[in-house]
Amino acid sequence: MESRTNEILNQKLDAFGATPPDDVWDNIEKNIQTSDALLYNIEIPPPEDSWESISAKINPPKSQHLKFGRTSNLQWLKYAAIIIVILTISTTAFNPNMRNTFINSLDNANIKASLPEKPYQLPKNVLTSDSASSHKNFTNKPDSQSKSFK
Amino acid sequence: MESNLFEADSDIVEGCILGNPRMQKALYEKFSPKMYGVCLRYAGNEDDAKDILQDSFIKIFKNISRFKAIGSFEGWIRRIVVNTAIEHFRKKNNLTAFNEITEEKKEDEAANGLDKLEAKELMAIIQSLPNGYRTVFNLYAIEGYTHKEIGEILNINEGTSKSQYARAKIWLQEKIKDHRYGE
Repeated sequence: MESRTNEILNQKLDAFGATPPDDVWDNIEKNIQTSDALLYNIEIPPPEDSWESISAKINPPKSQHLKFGRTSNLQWLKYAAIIIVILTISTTAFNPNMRNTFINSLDNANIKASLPEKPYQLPKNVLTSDSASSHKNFTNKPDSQSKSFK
Repeated sequence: MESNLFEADSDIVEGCILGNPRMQKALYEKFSPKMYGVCLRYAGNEDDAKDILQDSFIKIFKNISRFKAIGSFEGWIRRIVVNTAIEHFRKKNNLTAFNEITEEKKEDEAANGLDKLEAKELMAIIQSLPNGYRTVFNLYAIEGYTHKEIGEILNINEGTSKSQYARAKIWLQEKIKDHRYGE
């Protein structure tokens, strides 16, 4: 009975064709595992451009780092300059001494620019002399002018 | 079979952890030929093999700090490459369609000319396997995984892994026969 079952089973397997003889596979396995054809350790050089692609992905170009570094440095410099300007203005505005010094320096600069090098001095008798005479001198001038017209 | 973490490897690993490009290239030059061989076995063509190799090494460099020098460094790299190859075919949905393969006729003759096959010729024959068969064949016959492990890796039944391996054997047998008669 058992032999008959095996026979039928083998016939079905033959018809199915799914099981190769063991010795065939033994040969294949031997071949796979021989030292000449050791597929586990087979070494095949990869394409030459393979490393360049990998390297580009794991190490982004340095120029981008530098560019980023320069940009960030410039931004920090801008912020530093703004802070210095704000501190200077606030200190100057709220400290009386510094404020006066600042205003004086500005004023002096304007005055120096507008005045002649030799300071102008009023005559000493202008304030001490009779104001009437000065008025007279002032009012006489048209008379003399009128005389001359005559 | 696999090298342990020699002192030279240790230097390379430390250099790669620090992001030293020279050490990264040294690692690539040391292991890429063998790993490209693995990629070619799992891939059906050179373009796919190249993609798998690139993705694998990017993963290796990104995760190299996680490597613990207890086991084999080459084994760690190989596992990443094999996993990447499997992911690659999962993305392409190439690990299905095993049932579409036509059943081969039984070949009574033993493949007597097998010992004349070069490794590259055998590699080419393995590459000609349908994707699903090739993956199971690689994992079982060459990498040494069990059918249970393959079932877990590929998310298929253990029985499916066994049947696919059997069919892969038939396919290989036919191809080897063709190769022999073609000479």
